[in-house]
Amino acid sequence: MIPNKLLGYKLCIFVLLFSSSAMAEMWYFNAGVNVSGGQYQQSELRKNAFSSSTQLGLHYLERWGLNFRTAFLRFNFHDSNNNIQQNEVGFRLYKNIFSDWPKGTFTLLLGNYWVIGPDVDTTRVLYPEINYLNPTKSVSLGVGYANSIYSGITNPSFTVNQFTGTLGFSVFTKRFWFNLKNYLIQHDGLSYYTGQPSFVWYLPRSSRFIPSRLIVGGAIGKRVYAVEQETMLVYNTPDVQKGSIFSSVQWRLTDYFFFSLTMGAEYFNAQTNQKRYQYSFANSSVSAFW
Amino acid sequence: MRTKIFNGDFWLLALLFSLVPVSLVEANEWSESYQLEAEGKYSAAAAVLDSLLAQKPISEFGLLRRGWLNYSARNYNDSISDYQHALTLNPNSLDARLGLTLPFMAQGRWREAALHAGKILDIAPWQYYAHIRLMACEEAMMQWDVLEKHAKKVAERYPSDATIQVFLARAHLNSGNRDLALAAYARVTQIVPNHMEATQFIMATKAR
Repeated sequence: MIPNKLLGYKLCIFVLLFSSSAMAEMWYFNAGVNVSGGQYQQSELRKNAFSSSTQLGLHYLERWGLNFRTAFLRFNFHDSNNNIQQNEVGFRLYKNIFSDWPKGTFTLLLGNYWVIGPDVDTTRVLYPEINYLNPTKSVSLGVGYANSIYSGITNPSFTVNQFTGTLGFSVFTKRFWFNLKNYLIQHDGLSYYTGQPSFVWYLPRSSRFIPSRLIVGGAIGKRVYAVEQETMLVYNTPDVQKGSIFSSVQWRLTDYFFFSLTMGAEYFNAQTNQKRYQYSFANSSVSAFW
Repeated sequence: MRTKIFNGDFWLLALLFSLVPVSLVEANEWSESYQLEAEGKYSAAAAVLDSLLAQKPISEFGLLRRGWLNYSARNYNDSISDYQHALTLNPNSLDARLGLTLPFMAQGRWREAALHAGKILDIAPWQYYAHIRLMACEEAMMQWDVLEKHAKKVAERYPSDATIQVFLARAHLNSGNRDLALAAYARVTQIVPNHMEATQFIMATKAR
């Protein structure tokens, strides 16, 4: 005879399995790990940097979802006493609204990001954004506003306002996608503007080893204390970024498993001496959804 | 002298009109709806059914029909609402679930459409339209490995169907199996000799 307690456990397991298979039809998940490293050139202070991050996502059909990211970053300086370690935590909530007039999909996003660590200002970012995608998925538009508050080490604390506008469209029967994200950042009475174009090429999947997607992009202009909603990154350095360039390759190894490699360079003006330096980086990520 | 508003003829007409069966009035609304649909006036055809659907008990068929008309008029949210209402009235309705897949697919809600197609297949495992719509969802979500296996199974049941062979060919092609894609497209041209996608692929392959 099965003891009642054991029967209870078995019943619980059965209920869990049943509910998870029923839920699996409505919920889907994604997870990814990203490792990045880079070297500073022409910088009198900075030497190299390393970061690792994890992303998790929970999505209810195409209706709404939540992405969560946590990262550890280490910046090494020539004088090791100045080394910086910081942690980043963030989540981004989204809700899709399928509209009949105007026809298309509106996506409401709310990003909330924190940077914390003993060597840096605590940063809190609130980033609402709204994006529109037309029914044929050939044009997208978006506007957003990020409010970043830096406090802790810098006294008094300060606020950075960032306004973004995005335009994206497909060309050549959706094989290519062009995206332009514009940043207007207001900090300390100054305004900084950056245009961030990127170009995506979706390759036909003739083999698992041929990449499914190639991306080239960059940034033109100046920006400081920028926040990127897509990557959930907060650039909390006071150095002014003056342009960047990158290329990325993504492989779709199975229906649900991706691998990508990215290389690029970012250019900055040091806050301390206004000298220009470069950060060359590479990162790789694996991600899956199910 | 008082004006005679309601004379004897009026009362006679009113009496006759009250004797017209309700079903005849409804029949006129149904036929008007079909007439407007045939003229391509889908929104008007749906609007004609509004008064019928305001009556209790609510007509399940009326909801299904208005769901279809709203879908045809590209009023996808209204269409979803009608089909969902029909499904609450009759949770076993395959018609309502099949109907729901259409506006969801039109809105690019592939997972939601696939969910309903899957529920139909739970009840009726070889329901043709449910398989076709599920395959369309799998293609849209670029689930090539899933689509390849799925289309292969369905093609065994419907060997004379060109649409399934096209799905199979696309799945083979995107899974890196060009030879199998060519064979599937060749079968498509046996069924539909001038099939544009299949003939273009075969010609392009021969030219390589």
